[in-house]
Amino acid sequence: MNKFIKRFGIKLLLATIIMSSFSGCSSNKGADPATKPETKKALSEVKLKMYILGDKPKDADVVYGKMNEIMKEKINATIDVNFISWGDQKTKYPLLFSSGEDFDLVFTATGWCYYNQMATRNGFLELTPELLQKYAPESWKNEPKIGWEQAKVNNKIYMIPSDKDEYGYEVVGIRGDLREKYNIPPIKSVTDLEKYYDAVVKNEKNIVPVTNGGLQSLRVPLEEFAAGIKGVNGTSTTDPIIAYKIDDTSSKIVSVIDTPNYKNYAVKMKEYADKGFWSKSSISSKETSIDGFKGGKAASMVWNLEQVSSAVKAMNIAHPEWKGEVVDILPGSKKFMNPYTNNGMGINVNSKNSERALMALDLLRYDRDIYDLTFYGIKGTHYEAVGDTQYKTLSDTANFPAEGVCPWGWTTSIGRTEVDRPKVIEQFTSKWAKEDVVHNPLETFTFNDSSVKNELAAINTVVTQYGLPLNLGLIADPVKGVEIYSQKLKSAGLEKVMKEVQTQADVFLKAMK
Amino acid sequence: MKKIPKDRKIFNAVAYVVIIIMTLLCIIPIIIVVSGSFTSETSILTDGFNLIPKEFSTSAYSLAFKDPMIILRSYGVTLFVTFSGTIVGLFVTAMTSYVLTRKDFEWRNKFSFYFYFTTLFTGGLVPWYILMIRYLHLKDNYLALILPLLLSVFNILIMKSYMSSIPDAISESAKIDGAGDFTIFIKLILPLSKPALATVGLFIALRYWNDWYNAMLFIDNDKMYSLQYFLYKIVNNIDAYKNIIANSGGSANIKMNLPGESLKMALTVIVTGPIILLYPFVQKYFVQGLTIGAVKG
Amino acid sequence: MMNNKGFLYKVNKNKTLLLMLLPAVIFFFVFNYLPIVGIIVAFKSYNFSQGIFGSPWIGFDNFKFFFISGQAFIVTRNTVLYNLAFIFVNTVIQITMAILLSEIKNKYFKKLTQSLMFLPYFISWVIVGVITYNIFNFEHGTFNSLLKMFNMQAIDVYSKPIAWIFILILFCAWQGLGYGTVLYLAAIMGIDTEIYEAAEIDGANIFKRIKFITIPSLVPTITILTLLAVGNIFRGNFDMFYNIIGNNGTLFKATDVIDTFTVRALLQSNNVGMAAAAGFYQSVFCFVTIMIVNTLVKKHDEDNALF
Repeated sequence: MNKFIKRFGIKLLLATIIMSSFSGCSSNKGADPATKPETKKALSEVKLKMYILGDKPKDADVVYGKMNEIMKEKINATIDVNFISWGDQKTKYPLLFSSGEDFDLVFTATGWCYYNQMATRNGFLELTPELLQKYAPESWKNEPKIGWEQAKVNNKIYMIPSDKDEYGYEVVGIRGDLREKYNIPPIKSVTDLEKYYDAVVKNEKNIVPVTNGGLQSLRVPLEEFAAGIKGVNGTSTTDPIIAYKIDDTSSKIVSVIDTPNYKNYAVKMKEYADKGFWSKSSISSKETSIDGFKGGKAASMVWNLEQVSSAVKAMNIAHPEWKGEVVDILPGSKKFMNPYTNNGMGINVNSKNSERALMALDLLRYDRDIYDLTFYGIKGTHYEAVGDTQYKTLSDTANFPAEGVCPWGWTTSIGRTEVDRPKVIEQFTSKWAKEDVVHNPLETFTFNDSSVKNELAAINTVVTQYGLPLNLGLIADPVKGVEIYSQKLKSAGLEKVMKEVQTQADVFLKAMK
Repeated sequence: MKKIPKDRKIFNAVAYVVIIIMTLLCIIPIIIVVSGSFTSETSILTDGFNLIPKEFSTSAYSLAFKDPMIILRSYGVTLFVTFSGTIVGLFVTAMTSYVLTRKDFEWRNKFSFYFYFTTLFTGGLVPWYILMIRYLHLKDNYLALILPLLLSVFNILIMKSYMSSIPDAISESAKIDGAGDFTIFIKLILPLSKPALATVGLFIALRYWNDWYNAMLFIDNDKMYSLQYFLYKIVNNIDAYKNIIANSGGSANIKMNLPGESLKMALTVIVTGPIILLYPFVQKYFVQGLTIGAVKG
Repeated sequence: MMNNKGFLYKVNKNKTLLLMLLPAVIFFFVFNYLPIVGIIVAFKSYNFSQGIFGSPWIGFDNFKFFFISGQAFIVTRNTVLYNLAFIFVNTVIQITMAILLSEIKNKYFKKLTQSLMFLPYFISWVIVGVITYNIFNFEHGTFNSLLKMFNMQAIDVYSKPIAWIFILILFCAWQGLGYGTVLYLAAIMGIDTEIYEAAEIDGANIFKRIKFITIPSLVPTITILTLLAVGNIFRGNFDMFYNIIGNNGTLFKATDVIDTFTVRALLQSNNVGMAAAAGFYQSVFCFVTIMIVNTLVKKHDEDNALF
């Protein structure tokens, strides 16, 4: 009798432990999808194929293998994860669709990973609310409404966007030691920054105020955010040409180049360039501002909050005497958030297992264990969990870099933050979220360019040819330069495009009311 | 002792000087690359590239060889593809070119045009890709690396031009003697075309060695990467990534360490170094006057 | 009926030759002629669900972007002029080097210099772009450092379009030097030494021998290579131009070619039909050009024409 209880007892104990750990595995926000025994039995085994961006990390097979173990358990499916290198994205990504390759899930993004382009050409499966509710219930429930609106192309949803709050706003990292050396008070405005730059130019022969290579410039803070404009989604050009003012709730569309703000900006950039704020050959340099800053060749870097904060943090470890600081040169300015569709996942229109793919996507997004695996690696090897919401990288993290190789497509709020994350990021983002962020109704509007794609292509060439030199202050007479730029845009068909954008925007806004 | 005539002396002097200058001009950028591969990364960021490393360091090479299997495997792939592709390609090219030189073959101009036309019009990447992947099923297959570069119109026409210098009399007299066309080709024409074969063979081999495009399109299996694709991925990824960051409004945020300039240079050296040795090997076929000497015998 | 018999008879007579051609014919049919069908995409509004054959026809719409930009003439002109310059400069330099090398007797010197001259062919344009920047950048470049050493004023090369015309021609010549020299050298090897010896005995000095024997014997090779280059005269070497010039718009008037222009225009939209249209534009012009030129060459000298 004793023996029986012992054996049975142990088995019961084990079973209880296993069952409870399963429920511990499920997401914090509600029950696991599809773990009901009936549905599990009914599912046939399916092999899914997924494409994400980046270079395959060394331990990818191990990590994804473990992920597939869990996935097989839960929905009897495994994912074959494939990678497209950054350098190949331009060629291979569109080829995935045009060659009719058999895949199910794919990363996509507005603006930098061809979401609009592939959607309008019927590359993605339409995700109807019914489909989403049935097969990706967690996503449907938890994704912010704005995200779904932003993902709509021609009123249909073609991707599940991430739900990470990101700001496209750019801040400045500066060298505290230089600031103190030249008696400049803490930098809180553009004029403060100018004073800092002037001091550097005058006194430091081997340090340049900022490195503006790799297509970077001071455009984002000084043109976009200073004037409070945002480019219309779907008018894909490298610099925003067709925009709206973020605090203007009418749907008025503006031609950026023709605004007085832009002219002043261009003149100012010339002034900066003449003063020597950046190298005269910046337009051909591949060195980005972070390279120059970290290498001690530049006195500042201008970029988004994440990049600047991590650079400053790394710098303060390597060179504590440099006293890196993160500053906001336009405090109180209105800021907008990046669309949620800046990262997301789409389903191939020709996928043979679209329903299972959606289920898998839901797991990727909200299953605690799967999420931790795909984002941070294997617990104990690549990272260490710190509580429920944080993580710390371990020495082997290079073999599967945390948040590294493009799991961003399924970022959700159950993500962990790194224990060493610079505190300044939280300081800024909470302030911005509370005080500065604006939401404009046109935020979810995506322009359909099929009737003006020729004009847009022509406009694109004009923007690169005339816009970039103005951003870097290379044109001898900037006022005339802006005039010529504007003329060229007009002959490329800007007015026709603007009219079309305005028409669509008006319709959009009216429908929303 | 034969006296060197005056005109040859002048010529030699001029020739040596010019060749040396040109060679130097050619290799100065190469020296910069090699020097860059031996310079420390920090020195490159501050001082740029120089002819002699400002701060010597082999860290780029130790980084490159951290996982020697990758490099060794890509060497293996490239050698295999280059070798087999060159042998087959050279043979078929020579055979094709010979037929086009035969003046008694009345359709030779039409066939020349058939071949040449393919260089004028192209359907572009998409149909080509679809053909290879969907119809020929050549994904992750060595044939995808070998077949596309096997023949080129350029090589066929060059070879044809070289073979045209072989007198028609050779083929004609052999035919009168009753020899078949293929036999003539193998027994007579090939031996007489040594410089042409060496040259075109060299070009085919170089084309295979340098190819990264086919690997990028058709190979996903990282154990089958060719050398140049391996190099291309690393070198191009950085720039592509920077472009993407610039356009993504802050979304693309990788914390990985991007390979430095020095590593790019080291990889270039590793990848292209050995092929230089191919040229001296081929050079011994560049002997003048082989044609007539053989005929006279 | 007589024609049929005649044709079949000819096929039979030439059957070995035809069989020898067969591998190449099949090769080009499969890998080149089959995909050519895709060229119709230039006239269609391509979408993925209908594919190449199902997507709707839109006539010449895809070509519009090229012409409304106002740049069509400039980039076409640049493409052609650069190619002409490349053909001329490269041919002259390569022939010169080949002739010089052919007359040098020292084997080690020949092997060494030729191997070294080949090296540039292997350097990717990306690296060349890096090197160019290192030489010409305003503040730290080698070029300006040299000038400063001689107490001269630094020059902002990146703002002077004219400089880049020469830089591009220079680098194109640099890259092709080894390759082209070998091509001509191999042709020179095919010349009978006896002719040279006879000329020498007759009293011709080396310069005369080169002028009257070597160069004329090279005419077939020069013709073929030039014709092949002319057949591509509307196509620019994208990698070279993109990596050396990059996005420096101030230089575009003098350095932008059809290929770089098209890539820039379609960078964001990635429109397959428009890219195909640009390619078709280039193909048609190349076709017309080579047909004319080849016919002219054929009238003059049938053997050296391409077809």
